[in-house]
Amino acid sequence: MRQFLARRLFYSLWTILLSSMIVFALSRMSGDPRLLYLTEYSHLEPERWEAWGKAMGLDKPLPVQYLIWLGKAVTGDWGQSIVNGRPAFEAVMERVPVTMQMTAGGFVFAAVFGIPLGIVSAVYRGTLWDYIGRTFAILGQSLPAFWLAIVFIVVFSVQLGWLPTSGRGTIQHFIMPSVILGWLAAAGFLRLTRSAMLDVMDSEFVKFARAKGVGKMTIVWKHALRNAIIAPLTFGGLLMAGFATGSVITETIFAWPGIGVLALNAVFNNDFPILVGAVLVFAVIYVVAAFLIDVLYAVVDPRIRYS
Amino acid sequence: MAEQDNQFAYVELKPKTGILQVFEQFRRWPVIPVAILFILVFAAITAPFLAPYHPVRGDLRERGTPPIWQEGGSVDHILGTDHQGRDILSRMMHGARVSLTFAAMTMAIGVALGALLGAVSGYFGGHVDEVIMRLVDLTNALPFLLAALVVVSVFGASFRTLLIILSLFAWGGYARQVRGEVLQLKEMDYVALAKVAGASPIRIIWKHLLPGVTNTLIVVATLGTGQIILAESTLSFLGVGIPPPNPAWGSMVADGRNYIETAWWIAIIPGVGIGLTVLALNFLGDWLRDYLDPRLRQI
Repeated sequence: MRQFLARRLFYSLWTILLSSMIVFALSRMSGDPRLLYLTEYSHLEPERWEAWGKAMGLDKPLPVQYLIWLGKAVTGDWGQSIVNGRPAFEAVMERVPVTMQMTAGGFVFAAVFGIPLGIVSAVYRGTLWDYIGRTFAILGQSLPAFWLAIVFIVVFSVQLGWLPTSGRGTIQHFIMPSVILGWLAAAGFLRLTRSAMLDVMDSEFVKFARAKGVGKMTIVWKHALRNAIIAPLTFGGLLMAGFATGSVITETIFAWPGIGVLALNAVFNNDFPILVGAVLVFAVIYVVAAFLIDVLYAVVDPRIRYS
Repeated sequence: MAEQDNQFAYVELKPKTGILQVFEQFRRWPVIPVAILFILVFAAITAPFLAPYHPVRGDLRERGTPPIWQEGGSVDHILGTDHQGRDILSRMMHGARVSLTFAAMTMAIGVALGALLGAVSGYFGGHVDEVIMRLVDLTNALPFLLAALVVVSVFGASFRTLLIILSLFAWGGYARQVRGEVLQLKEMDYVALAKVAGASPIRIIWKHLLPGVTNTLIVVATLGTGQIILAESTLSFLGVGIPPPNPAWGSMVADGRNYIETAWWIAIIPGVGIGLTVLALNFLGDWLRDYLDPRLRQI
């Protein structure tokens, strides 16, 4: 267990470190970082240009620059927004709760919808339930989330007038974003749960329980489900990467002021400090979440702990 | 003998007739997905000659014409027009050209990289394997959209930039599949014999291992193409994908977003195109998997 955790922790840190390196390398490729703050005409004043270079540490070798940058990033000094001069750390951090709320909503929908449907789909294999489940799974993989969101708005907001089109505040505001964000993950949960349930239902100990005369419901709940429920946990990392992508889309469409919208707008405004901050926060949130899911996985499944 | 005694008499299957027979054929062969993909490729190739209108220049007098089945629709614009009076059908045909070319190129690069690195990883093992697999983990763990946002803000959105980002993300999955297959194949006697005969690793991988993973590659490439189309259209929707005025399906949906209360079709119809294409590719991929290699069915 300890070894497994250490290994996973190492990879999590490594992923964060590597993404910070990639972001740093890309930020240096975008040109002289002085140009973010000074105009090109500043070349005409060599002293000022050099002074800025010194102040930003550009006279040092790249790896040293990276370490300085990383040190600043860890202590919360992310530079200022090019657009309005606010500290990037503040601008990004105040939006974290919004994105977390939405992610939580998406996760709850995915789990509450995907896992039970997967179980039903496996237990009543070949029946109508199974067809519904499988149709949902294949639609979840195939339909683009941004399009689905617009269809939902057209149907539930414009035509029926049941749900608000955008914004946040009441519980109704939560429904559509959660469904859209959780849609892909629900399809994933469904498929994994279904195939795991089918595997377990086919195993020797379930056959034995059945031969012993244990009731169907007891077999499903006590014997099969406890083993099958582990499968959806295995794709924690993948799930979280999907949520990161999804929250940019969902926040854009439903006008939630989260990190995703912030990052997207930063791209349009060339606001590099904000973009870097947003991407790094995303990376940290999702790597940590994926790590926690893996820990949960190890707690639930003793086979992982002892291997 | 009484009929009840004979438990093991085989049940005679009635030959299915009429409509049932048609259904049976549809279940057995992927007729609909192939038809959809065929129409799509045809539309993409012939768009410059067959598309009734110019994809970018619209007629403002005709703007907001609903599709033909809606009240107020006209035969001139079967799928209606958008807010600039551009014919949606023509734009979708040209959009298919852009999206399919993009997906095909990305998939080709991704599969080539994935097959090569996967085979090398599986064949050599050890440190090489470890390094390549960590890279694969990275392509899985990093959210592609965020990476794409950073890259686009640095290099600007262009066909080439997108091609590079998406193929860098696509190869990982293929590599893992190929590696798994190669790990099994390399234990085979014929590979050992080739080694004894003095074949170089390059020759073994190229001549003896890669042909054995072709089926797997066909399946993962089909399924992967759908994912690439989804990824590209998502980026185009957000405005960081294929730059306008090229009609990409994703950006067409984005164009229609502001008009959903008055003209839903501008946003909805191009999305149907994306959904149908990806559905067709997913069904075809699943069918190919069962047809070519039943062992993969569990994945």
